[in-house]
Amino acid sequence: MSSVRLVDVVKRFATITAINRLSVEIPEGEYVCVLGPTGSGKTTLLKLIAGLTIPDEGEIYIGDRPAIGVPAEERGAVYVPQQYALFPHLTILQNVAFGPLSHGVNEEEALHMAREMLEMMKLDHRADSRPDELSGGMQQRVALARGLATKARLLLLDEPLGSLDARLRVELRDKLRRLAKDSGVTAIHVTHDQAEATAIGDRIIVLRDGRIRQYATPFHVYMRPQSLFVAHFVGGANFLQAVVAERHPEGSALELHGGLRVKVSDSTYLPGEEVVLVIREENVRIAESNEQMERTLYNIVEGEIQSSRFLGGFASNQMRITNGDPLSSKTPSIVREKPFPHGKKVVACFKPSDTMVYSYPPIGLPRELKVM
Amino acid sequence: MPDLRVAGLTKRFGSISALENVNLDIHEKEYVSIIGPSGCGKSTLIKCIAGIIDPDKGGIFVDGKPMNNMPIQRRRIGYVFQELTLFPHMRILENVSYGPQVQGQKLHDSRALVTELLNLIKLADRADSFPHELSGGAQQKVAVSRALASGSTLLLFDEPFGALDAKVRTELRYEIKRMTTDLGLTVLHVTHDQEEAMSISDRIVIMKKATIVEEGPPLQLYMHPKKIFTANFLGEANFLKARVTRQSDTGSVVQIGDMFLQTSDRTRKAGEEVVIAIRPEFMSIAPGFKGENSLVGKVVGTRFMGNMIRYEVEIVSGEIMFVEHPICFGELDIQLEDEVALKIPEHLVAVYSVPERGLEKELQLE
Repeated sequence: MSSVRLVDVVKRFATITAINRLSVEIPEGEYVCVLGPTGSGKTTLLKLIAGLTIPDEGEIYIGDRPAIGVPAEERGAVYVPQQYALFPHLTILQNVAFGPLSHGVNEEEALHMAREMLEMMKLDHRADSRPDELSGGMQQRVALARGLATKARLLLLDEPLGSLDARLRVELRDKLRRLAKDSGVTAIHVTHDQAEATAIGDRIIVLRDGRIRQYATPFHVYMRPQSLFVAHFVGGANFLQAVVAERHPEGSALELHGGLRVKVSDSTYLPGEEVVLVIREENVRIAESNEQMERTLYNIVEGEIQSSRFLGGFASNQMRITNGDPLSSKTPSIVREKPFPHGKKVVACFKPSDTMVYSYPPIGLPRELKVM
Repeated sequence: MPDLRVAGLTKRFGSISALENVNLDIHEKEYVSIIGPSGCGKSTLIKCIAGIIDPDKGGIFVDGKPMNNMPIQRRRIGYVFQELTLFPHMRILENVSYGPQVQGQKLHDSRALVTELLNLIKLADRADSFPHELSGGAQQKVAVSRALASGSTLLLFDEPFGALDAKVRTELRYEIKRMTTDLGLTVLHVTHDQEEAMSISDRIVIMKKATIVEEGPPLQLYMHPKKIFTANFLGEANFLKARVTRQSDTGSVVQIGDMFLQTSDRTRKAGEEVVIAIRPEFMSIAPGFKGENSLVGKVVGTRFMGNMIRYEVEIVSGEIMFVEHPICFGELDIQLEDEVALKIPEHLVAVYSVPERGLEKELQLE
């Protein structure tokens, strides 16, 4: 059994509480990504599960058995740290075969598994090289291959794709997921890359200051973020300060700075309440004139392009709207190839149903959104 | 203001070739990024220009002046790399005025310039802080200011944002870009982040195995890559083997299995074997088994990716195609196993000759 359960776990380092009364259950066979900014406790959480760090309080179960006090190697887990250490005097193949050998597999079988893993990692042509002949990204894949080759039932991966080239990362993340799913292992994968977490995880744990802010499928984390922080950290969005002006069962009207009014479909807040309007960048459309847009379906605000940048599949456009607020939009390049010129007058449109509304945070919006 | 010329640059480390006759011109005030898989030679190139590595052959010229035997400190080239490299025991102000002081200027004389530079990066109020009191992003901004304080107008960036968190990275890249544009600097920037390169560069240079594969403005390289490697490395693409069946003044028709696609390519001959490339987001996916200029197949995978849905489609000729549907285009009623048509605008089908070494080899990233 390789399910994982943490109950009220606390871990302090001197005055810093790295993990703050955290409880979570990860079912067997699930691929979970732990996502959070630097210093949020991601690596500590992984080390606690690996048995490399002892919690100050709380309980940890792997399968149905209490794991605290059980040495790391007897937990049926393999931990692949961010700072991998390969044996410099061994070949790549020998390095990878060390994984299964150390788990009691005979030599012939270990070498066979090692070859298989190297092939998957696209490193079979470097099997006889020594680690120092490989680039950092290649070495990381060797460390990952060594971990995967152990056939442990619980994979604990700390930024396993972190030092890889962006293009290779996309290719390997799909393979990693498939490998874990095909073999039915439980995987806990720490990353600070929200696109990676969204692409690979069955569920995502969003961590901040040692606490879980949301634990849900990528779809829910993205479409129904439980807090402003999660909305900000996972996917880009616009955050505009507002006050509820009118409230109806089918939606509300919000008043932004300068008295600008917009419609939203949310109706949970009362008139007069201070709120934050959140609109995902890709839900803001840009038109050259407001005649192109159906007024009854969209909020339409006038604005001016501050910058427009081509990003490949999307272009990122920064506007300043009439009331002075900034508004960003991501437009698929297939709709419009050429960036807008600076200063161009445009209209920005978004649907009431594509908005999210949150209570204005007591600590202020900038601090609520602060990533580091 | 400098322009930079690299001519016939060659560098070997033992039996490994890091640069093979590389030629590159960078114009005054241009922002150029170099991308390529690890080991392609991009870092060696920038280190040769900085004067940290001596090339075996070839010349480096700044403003027409040869740099080859000039010591690093006299090249007047600013160099910022990935590691945080501020002097830990010096305050921010002292760090930034270090260059002018080494050049013999008194702290008093350089003070105005240093303050101006700190103002530019909005860190003037942190002049008396020590580096460890600043975030990684702020430290890298100081490193850029320090490089500028010596009077360099040519800047070399070697993965300057590589050690930073994704969100911080994105903000910082735009801030640095604005600063270098405002000051009219010439920048050569090595990165492993394709999106970063596309978002801030006037021109991108793509390297592979010690040579330059292709260069051009981001939009042109992304929308109409001339090389298979570019289509694969800058962004992502589906590659299919095809055969040209008809060729006219307006374009060609290619055949994939029993399916036909119109393309705008006019460089091929009927009967020719080719490779076509189509980016996942250039196709639109619709339920049903037919459509205009479409490939048809069956959905074998779907994945929510945030701002888009990624579909894996097995087309009837047997290949797997990845298709990305932006969420903002609306929800689709498409499930696993459904039959679908992938419609492709003809001007976004890239057509290439079959690589001599075979397609698989050409697509290898290392």
